[in-house]
Amino acid sequence: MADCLERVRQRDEDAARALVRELYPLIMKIVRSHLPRRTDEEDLAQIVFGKIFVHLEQFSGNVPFEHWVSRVAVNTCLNALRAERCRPELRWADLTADEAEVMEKVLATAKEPDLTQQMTARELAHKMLETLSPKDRLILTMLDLEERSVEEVRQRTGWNASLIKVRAFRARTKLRKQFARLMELER
Amino acid sequence: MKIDFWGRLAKAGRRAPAPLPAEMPFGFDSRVVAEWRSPGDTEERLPWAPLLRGALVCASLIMLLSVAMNYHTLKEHEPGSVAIADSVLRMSMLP
Repeated sequence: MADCLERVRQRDEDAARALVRELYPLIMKIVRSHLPRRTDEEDLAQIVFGKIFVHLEQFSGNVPFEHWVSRVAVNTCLNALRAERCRPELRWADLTADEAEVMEKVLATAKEPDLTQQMTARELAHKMLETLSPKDRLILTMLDLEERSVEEVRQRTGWNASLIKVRAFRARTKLRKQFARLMELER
Repeated sequence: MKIDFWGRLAKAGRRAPAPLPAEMPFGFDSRVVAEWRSPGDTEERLPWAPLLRGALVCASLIMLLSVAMNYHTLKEHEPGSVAIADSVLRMSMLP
């Protein structure tokens, strides 16, 4: 990797292509997790790669290259989420039949939905997260959906650990209120 | 006791099978590399660009210097007030 980076710094196109191929799965995973609505994942990934190449000189090598790349990708996604000015409000009527069924199951019992409903549950969780601010969404996606530790979130975002914990707590409170509102409206 | 609905939903979502690993679309790497190379190419097409940048900096410096040197004159709210008073005085003294 170090050799490849050095060649990219010397503007070697083949090395740049190899780097894109190497990093593509990692970047797409991050982009898909934090993709704003109405944004094409490929376009956002291309923006991330653009930033990586432009700022490659700033990579000092103090941290693993993948961590640095992740941080660039996360920050780019965060900026894209910020650019999305309005956040949707989730209403029961907006849910699909499958989502409503999963939601009812989650609200009514502690029993987990079956395998086929788990996919729907994940989509629903992302829909719930879309109602939050970009930073809150980013933190809860990493902590609660990707099961990352606070330390990992800190490494990827560069934010303070206490700030992450406080934000996560507040974001979960907001989601709890959202669920309560959804239940009220359903009744 | 409060029920953690979000916790339940997130837990169910986490259990879902991981999405398929992303496969790079054809030509994506070429697009990225072309975008990366394009600023360099533009500079190559405009060899006088650094000269223009230098000229712009010099012009800005000269402008700032001239503003600084004429600061007191520019600061005067009524630069012609003395001249006007003088003229009025002369007019009044005329027969």
